[in-house]
Amino acid sequence: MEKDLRYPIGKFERGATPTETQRSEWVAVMAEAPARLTAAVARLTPEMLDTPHRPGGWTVRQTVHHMADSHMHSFVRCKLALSEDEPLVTAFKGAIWAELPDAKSAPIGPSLAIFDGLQQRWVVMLRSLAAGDWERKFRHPEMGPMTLENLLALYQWHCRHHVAQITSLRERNNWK
Amino acid sequence: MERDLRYPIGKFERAPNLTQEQRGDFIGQIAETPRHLAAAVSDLSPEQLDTPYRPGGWTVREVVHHLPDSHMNAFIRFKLALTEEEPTIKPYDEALWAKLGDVKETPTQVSLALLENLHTRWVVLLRSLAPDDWGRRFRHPEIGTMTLDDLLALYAWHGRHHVAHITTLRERNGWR
Repeated sequence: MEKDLRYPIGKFERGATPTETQRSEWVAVMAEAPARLTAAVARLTPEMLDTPHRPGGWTVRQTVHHMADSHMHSFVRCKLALSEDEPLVTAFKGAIWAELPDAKSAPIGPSLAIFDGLQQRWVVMLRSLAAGDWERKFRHPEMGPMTLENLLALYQWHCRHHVAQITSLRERNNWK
Repeated sequence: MERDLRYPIGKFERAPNLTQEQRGDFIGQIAETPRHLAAAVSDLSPEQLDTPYRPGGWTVREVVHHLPDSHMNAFIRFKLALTEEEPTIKPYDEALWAKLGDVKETPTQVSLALLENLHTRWVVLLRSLAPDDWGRRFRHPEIGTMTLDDLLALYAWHGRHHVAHITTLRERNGWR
C-alpha cells in the first residue's frame, strides 16, 4: 500500500478521555516540540526550505511559519476558554495565510523563535491548570465545542504531524 | 495639574487617511518596540519586576507578558483582514489574561524574545502591503469597523504606551 505523504504519523483521532498520565505526556510533547522542529530543519539550504514536503503540499518554510501561526491561534483560544464561558473563537484560512509574504518567503528564524516562546508560555499555563479546568470549552465556528483536553490532544498531534512531514522529506531525499 | 500615570504619552488618537510616509514611521515604531521594551526592563530585580507601574496597575512583569498577548491578537487581526472580507474578530479580556498561570510563572525573557520575533514577522508583512491594502477592514464587536491604517497607528502607539509605563516608573523610583 502506498504511504499517504500527507499523514506520516496517521490522522488525528479523538480518543477516549485521557488519564492524568496521558495528559502530562502530551504536555511533554508540547514542551519538546520546538527543539524537534528546530532539529528537523537544521542545516537545510534555502532551496531545501523551499521544497514542498509532498507534491502540491506546503514547502518546509511554509510549514515552519504555519506552526507559529497555528499555535498562536490555539494559545489564544486556550486563554479565551480560561477567561470566558464557552467563547466563540475565530477560525482562519490557513491555506491563504501560508501564501502571504511573511509565511511564503520570509526567513524561518523568527517563526522558530515564536514557536519556542509560545510553547514555553503555553506549557507553563497547562501545568498551572486545576483538574476542573481541562473541561473548560470554547466554540469553533466549524469544529463546534472543544474542551482544553481536546485542544491538547489535537495540538500535541499537530506538533508531531508537521515535524514528521519534514523529517520524512529529509529521509526520502537523503538530506543529511 | 497632576499627571495621569495611566497615559504617560497621552491617549491614542485616531488619525484617518495616513500618508505612505506616516505608515513608514509607524512601521518603524513597531520595529523598534521590542528593543525599547528590553532596554526598559534591563537589570531590574525580581522585586522591581513585581512592582505595579502605578497604584492598582499592572506590575512590570504583567506589562511585559501583556505585550506579546496583545500583539499576537493584533497580528492575527491583521492577517484575518487581509484574507477575508471584513471579518468579525474576537476581543479578549486583557485584565483576566494577565492573571492566568503563564503570566505569573514564565520568565520575562521568554516574552521579550516572543515579542521581538513576532514583530520581525509583522514588519515583513507590513512592508509587503500595497497602498490599497491599508483600507481593508475588520469588525470589532465593541469598537466597530477598523481599517489596517487604524490598527497600525493603534499598535505603534500601544507599544510606546506600555514601554513608557515602565520607563516612567524607573524614573520616579530612581532605578538606574
